[in-house]
Amino acid sequence: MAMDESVRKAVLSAVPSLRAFAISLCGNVDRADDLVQETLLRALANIDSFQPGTNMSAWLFTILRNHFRSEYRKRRREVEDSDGHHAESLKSQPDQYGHVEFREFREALAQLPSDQREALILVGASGFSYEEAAGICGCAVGTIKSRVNRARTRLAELLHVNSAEDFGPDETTRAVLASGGE
Amino acid sequence: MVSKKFRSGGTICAVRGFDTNQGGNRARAWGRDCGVDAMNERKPVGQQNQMEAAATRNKKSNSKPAKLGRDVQARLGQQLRAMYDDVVNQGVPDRFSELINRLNSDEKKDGH
Repeated sequence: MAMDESVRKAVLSAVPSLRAFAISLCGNVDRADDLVQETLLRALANIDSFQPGTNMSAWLFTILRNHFRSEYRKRRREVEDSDGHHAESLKSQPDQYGHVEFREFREALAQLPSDQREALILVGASGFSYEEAAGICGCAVGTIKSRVNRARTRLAELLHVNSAEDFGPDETTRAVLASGGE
Repeated sequence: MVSKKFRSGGTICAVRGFDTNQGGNRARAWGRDCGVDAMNERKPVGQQNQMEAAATRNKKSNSKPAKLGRDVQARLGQQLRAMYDDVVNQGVPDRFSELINRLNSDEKKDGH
């Protein structure tokens, strides 16, 4: 059955967010893009099981997450090795302005348990509701809420953040700094 | 070496400021760049009065910390979205648009 044009567009427009989610799961861009590719192939092969009128993004995220969960353990070691290698090559790059704290945030995020991290990303960055996130993760809404809360608390602990001042200047100051840095 | 204060102010502007030409590298960095600078010190809680400082210490010693303030949650959310949007703003890589279009045209051929 030929793919409907509106379906094609919906899939295409979900790709950027799908990639961002995949990177947060994999911790590795190349592997994340492979995961997205496999997800798209699966999704398009089963496009008939997508119910028109429902959320295409949520459907694709569900496929991606399930595929990641089923494949992840097999490939874990291989990924860890390549990550170590790339971390080394990055260290030799000159430090960009503000890069270090950004890196700290990524590291803290990477230290979260995977179920907490995915819940936090889905709700806090992908823009899904708690209900949609629960559907994607196949768990209860209350479970998602508690994972998100624990994730935030743990992040704050890891970053030693007690108040908003610990993050540095506010948005206005940042904007001024950014324009001055051009 | 950049000073600590200098660094701590730069997070978001680095994210936004380097979007256009550094997006790919940053996405890579997000994924791969781990385990460095773990020894960075944080700002001391200098501006707090003694009671608040004591409260903070007590909170840290408990295994279950108190609920996060709204301001902290908001800032964590900002950082999270900045990181995520950095990838989203890269759009659809050719590899995926080609894949989707190719599959679509294959299916159309099959259909006719």
